[in-house]
Amino acid sequence: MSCIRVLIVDDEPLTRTSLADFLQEMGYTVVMAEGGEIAIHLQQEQAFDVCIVDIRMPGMSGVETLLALHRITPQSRYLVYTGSPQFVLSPALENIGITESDVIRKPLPDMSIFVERIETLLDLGTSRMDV
Amino acid sequence: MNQKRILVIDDEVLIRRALAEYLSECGYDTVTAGDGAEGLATAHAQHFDAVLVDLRMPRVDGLEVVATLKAEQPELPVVVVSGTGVLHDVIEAMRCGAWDYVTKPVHDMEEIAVIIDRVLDRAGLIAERDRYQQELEQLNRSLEATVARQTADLRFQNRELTALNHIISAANTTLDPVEILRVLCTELALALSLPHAIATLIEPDSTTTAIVAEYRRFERLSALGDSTSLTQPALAQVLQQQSPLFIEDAQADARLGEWCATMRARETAALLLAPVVVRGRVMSILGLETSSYRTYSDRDMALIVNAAAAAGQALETLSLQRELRLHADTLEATVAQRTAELSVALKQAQAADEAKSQFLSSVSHELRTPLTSILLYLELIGRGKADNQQRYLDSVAREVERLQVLIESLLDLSRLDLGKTTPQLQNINLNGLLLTLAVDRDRLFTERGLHLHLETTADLPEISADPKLLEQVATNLLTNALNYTPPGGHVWLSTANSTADGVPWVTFTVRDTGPGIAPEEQAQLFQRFYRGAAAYKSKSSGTGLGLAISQNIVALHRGRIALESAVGQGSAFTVWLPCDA
Repeated sequence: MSCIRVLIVDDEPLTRTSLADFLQEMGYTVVMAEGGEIAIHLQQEQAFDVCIVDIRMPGMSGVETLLALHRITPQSRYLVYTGSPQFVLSPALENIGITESDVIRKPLPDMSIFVERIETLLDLGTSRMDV
Repeated sequence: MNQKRILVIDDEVLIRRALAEYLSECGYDTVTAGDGAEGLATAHAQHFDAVLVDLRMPRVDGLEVVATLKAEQPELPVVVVSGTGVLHDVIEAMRCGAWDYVTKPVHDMEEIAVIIDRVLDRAGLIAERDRYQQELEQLNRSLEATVARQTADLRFQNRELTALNHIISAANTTLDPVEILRVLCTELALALSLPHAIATLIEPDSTTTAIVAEYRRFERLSALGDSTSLTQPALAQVLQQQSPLFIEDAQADARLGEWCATMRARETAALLLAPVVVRGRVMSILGLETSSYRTYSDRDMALIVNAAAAAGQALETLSLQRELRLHADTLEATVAQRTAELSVALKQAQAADEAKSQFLSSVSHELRTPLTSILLYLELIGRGKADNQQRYLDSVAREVERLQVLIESLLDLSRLDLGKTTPQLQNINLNGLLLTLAVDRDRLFTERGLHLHLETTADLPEISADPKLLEQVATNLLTNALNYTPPGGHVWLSTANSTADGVPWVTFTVRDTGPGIAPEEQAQLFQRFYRGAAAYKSKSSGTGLGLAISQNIVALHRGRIALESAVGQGSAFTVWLPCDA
């Protein structure tokens, strides 16, 4: 388990750290980025298994960040974590394999959904690699 | 049946007598004359139906009698008596105008009776023919006169109709009342063969009237522009009675007052004044001028009155059209204005609506963020590692505090928006208020490695303000300076006397050595939930409501907040408060 690496991209420090705290408790290796630029820098250094990206951020937006991260490491899996009720998946995001079930909306009554989604994404990835 | 009278002229007594007797027996009234001269005298003196005359007579012979009677009474039958064998005499007599002849010696007297009867019949026929002819001629003449009269009538009526038609149709082609009056003058002058027709225009409530339209023959002097008082007796009478007034001697009639001189100058002999009435008001007075005396027949007067009435109608139509157009224009303008107002109101409402939903969306986002963290830590406190429990509790406490601040701020804003915040005004010394604040916060600044300086102006007047609200403003500004100024920096809190718009103000300024604010951000800085770039770079957890609340509070004190800043040069927020507050 400890080998699964998760990147959290969120401009809100408390959201970022609280989610990081939770995922670390769940046994993942977690790295935090407060914006898209830092996230890209980190992805270039070490490919993450899963990236959790906030949509509404100052500077580089979440969508731009997701597309850039995918270009660097296409095999990474992505989760959108947004508090914006108006958010809808754009065709660009669907093209890189993000589906409605990969969108997690704030606030989340039960954080364990993150664990379920990450495991589903990685199981899928594993079975593909097996084939 | 009257007895026919025959004149017998013969110089021979026996023959004369014989003829007279015979003719008397035949039933004629017979008169005799002994020679030509006597015969002519008798014929002149009395009426005869026929004359029997001998050709050969001394002194005045028969031929002369024939010629004279033919010339004087061509309708009187003359029969000549001639000797046998002198046929050329008879021919000559017939040529001179004799109707018939008898030759002597007369063998059968009956021949004479037959000839007399014949010429009498002929004369009767001729007389009858002449009478008929005369009757015919007379009939013809009276017929011609009737036709001529009726033609003249028709021509006049046609002229009248044409004039009325022109006047009425003028209302459809012009919007100018003067043009209608000009048409009226022209039509009347042409219809009545007048050398000059003028029309004045009478404005409502005016005491004078001026000539605005005319028709004139080339030899007449123009009257356009002439003005006269409506108190002039002739005009006053037309105004009052609303009926035409004929002035026989326009150059001397006292009723025309000063206009007599004008009439003399224009060489006007007679003047007819007629009113043009529009909706019960005399709108124009018509003046028909002639260079010599003339009268107006009933028919002329009818034409004038009808034409003036038509002009009145045309003017009324015109004024109605004008009113209608004016109403339409006003209506259009009103509609356009209302539409514009509604459009603005709609845009404002839409903008307000959008601002509201934007605000609600921001509020929900701002509330959800700490809530998410709190839920998460509560979950971790239950199942996380024991080492981390204290940190999780601290995090929950921090988020709860943040929520509390946020909700307090929202309530502040809501109260300000609804006008429920009433400043508790009292006379305060801004220096004292800021000193207390600076002393309280000094330790906080020192902990962050910052230097807080207080620079007060000594002679600051007291102002009327709510100290708690002003303290909230100063605290917000100081907190921003504290959060966004890098360690080692300086923050100055200062007061000053200032003047703007010609009145004195008291100001206080919070200046820092922070990163400064870009011009494009400055405009949005006071918007709710707006947080500048610096807010994301620093780890501060502001609500984005502080400046919006501060601005509202200052506005409540009839003041304003000014910002002076440039990237890399720090920022200075200055609060302006009116001295008379």
